[in-house]
Amino acid sequence: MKAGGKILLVEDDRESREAIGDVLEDEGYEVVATTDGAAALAQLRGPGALPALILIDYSMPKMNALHFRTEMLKEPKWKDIKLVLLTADIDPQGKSDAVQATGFLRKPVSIEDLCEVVRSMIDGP
Amino acid sequence: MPMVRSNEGARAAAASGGRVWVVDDSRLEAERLARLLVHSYQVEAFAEGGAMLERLAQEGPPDLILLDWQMPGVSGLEVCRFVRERHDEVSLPILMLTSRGAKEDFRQGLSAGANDYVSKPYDDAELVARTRTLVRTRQLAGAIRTREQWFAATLKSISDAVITTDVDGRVTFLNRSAESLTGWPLAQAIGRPLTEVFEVVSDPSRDQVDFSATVLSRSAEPPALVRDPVLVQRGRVEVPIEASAAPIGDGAAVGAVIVFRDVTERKRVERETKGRADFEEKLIGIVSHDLRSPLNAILLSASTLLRRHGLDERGERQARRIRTSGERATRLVGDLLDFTQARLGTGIPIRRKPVDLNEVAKQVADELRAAGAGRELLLEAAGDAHGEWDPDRVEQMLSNLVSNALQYGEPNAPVTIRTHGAGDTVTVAVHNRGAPISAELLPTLFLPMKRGAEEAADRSVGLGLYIVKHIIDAHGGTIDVTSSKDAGTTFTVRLPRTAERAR
Repeated sequence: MKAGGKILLVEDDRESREAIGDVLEDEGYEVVATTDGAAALAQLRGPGALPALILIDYSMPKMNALHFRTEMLKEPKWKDIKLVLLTADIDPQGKSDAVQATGFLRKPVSIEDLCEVVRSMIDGP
Repeated sequence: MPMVRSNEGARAAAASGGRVWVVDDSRLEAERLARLLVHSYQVEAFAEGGAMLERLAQEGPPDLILLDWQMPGVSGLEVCRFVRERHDEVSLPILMLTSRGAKEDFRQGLSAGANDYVSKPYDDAELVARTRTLVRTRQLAGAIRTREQWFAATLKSISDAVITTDVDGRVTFLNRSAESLTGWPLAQAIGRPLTEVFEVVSDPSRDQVDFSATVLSRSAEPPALVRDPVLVQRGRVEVPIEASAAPIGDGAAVGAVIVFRDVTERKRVERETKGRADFEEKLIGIVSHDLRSPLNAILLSASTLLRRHGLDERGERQARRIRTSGERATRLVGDLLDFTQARLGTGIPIRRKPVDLNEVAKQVADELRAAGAGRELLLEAAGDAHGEWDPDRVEQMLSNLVSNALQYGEPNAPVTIRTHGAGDTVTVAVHNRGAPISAELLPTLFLPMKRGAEEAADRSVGLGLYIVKHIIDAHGGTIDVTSSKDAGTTFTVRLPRTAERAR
């Protein structure tokens, strides 16, 4: 049996979002997918349990990851949620530091790296 | 220095002091004056005014005229008036010689344009002193006039536009460039407030700028820098300019000078350059983000298909092909991004961490062994290979070199990766046997798109070695290559262990 857990996936590119969602659902996680930072904030504010992990793309049209993170850190009950940044930047570590992410994955991500990083974030290393 | 003066010397000294003409009907008087002055000036004596005036009409004026007032024939007064019709007090001074006590003569002489007077019988020293003062004033005026001409010629001929104002900020001068740029002819502009002739607003605030006020104001505050000034021409057409203003005068300013030029063309070039840079940055955006998201979807979906085991053999082969091609496209995109980054001058960013180069070499060898069917890869390690480098970039660099060696080397001969740590430097050499790199190719090997792009299907458009070089540069290291038929080809990379050592 695969390990469960709720993951909030924030990615504006539909194909990419669905592909990541498929992989994570195959792994046994509950995936809630949204298209931008604003929608993700609404999701966090809504009913239902908080996610164990937020997997978020850096560049998005409405509210990017940096802006989202700033908003997120204002709310005490959200600040402990782990956040993994998905980025296509040439300097992913730099982007990750800027967002104060728990970890990062560089796009395009391999299925192995994706599963391993998500597993270690949710279950611990 | 012997106190002997030759005639030549005396004449030269006299000539340099200036030219003085003496007009006196008394020969005795004229000779006496000449004697007094001949040591300092070139003296010429005239017995009557007519001869002097004739001479004056023929050649340039002297520096001073000593004019006897009481003369038969043409009187001193008449001579004086005649001279003043052509020459003012500054360009040709007149020292009048009158009889003592002839007060009416002084008054008349001075109002007719004489500069000064000495009454007979005069004191020699006084005459010499007054002569010297007038000659000197005339010479200074001459120097000022020369400077004025020089200045006027300069102002007229320079391409920059120049406007000057008086202390009240009223226009006193425009050069030709200023006339054409403002649309105001000099004659119409003179006396008008500067802000009327030189109407300038700053862009985009539209605040009016008075350049004369900024330099003529007595406030201690330095004039604010005007950003992007725009000149509103007389015909209301707006022209972007570059302008500077300065006070005229050493202490208290007596006016202001404003120098400006049309920068329409420069602004256009700047806009175009910026447009190109923006386009290139946009291109990076397309490559890095817009292309990577679909690649992400392709790779993950192909991998998911392969994981689910629901495919028949044919389907699995197709899914695998999608994944392999996706990975290749990813490498191409990565190289293109690195190339753009290196070319834009920002360089390839590196993040140093403790790295064991032997570990990296082992990892690269394992991966390439797995990918390249049955090719032999040898690892040789000597010394301590630890350092602080960007692990991903060092791996990319080594993987690139080894892939090249496998691709271009003799198919049945092994490729060797040799590491060697000594002192502050770790060296890694990648060697293959086979046909050497041609001598003419060697110097351009690390330039983009040089090495055999046409013969390699899976090479990233010939950017590999260019990127390798830039990764090494970013670490402060060096790369060399030797290639011959007998020894084969060896790329040797030297990496300083730390950033400090790299300096």
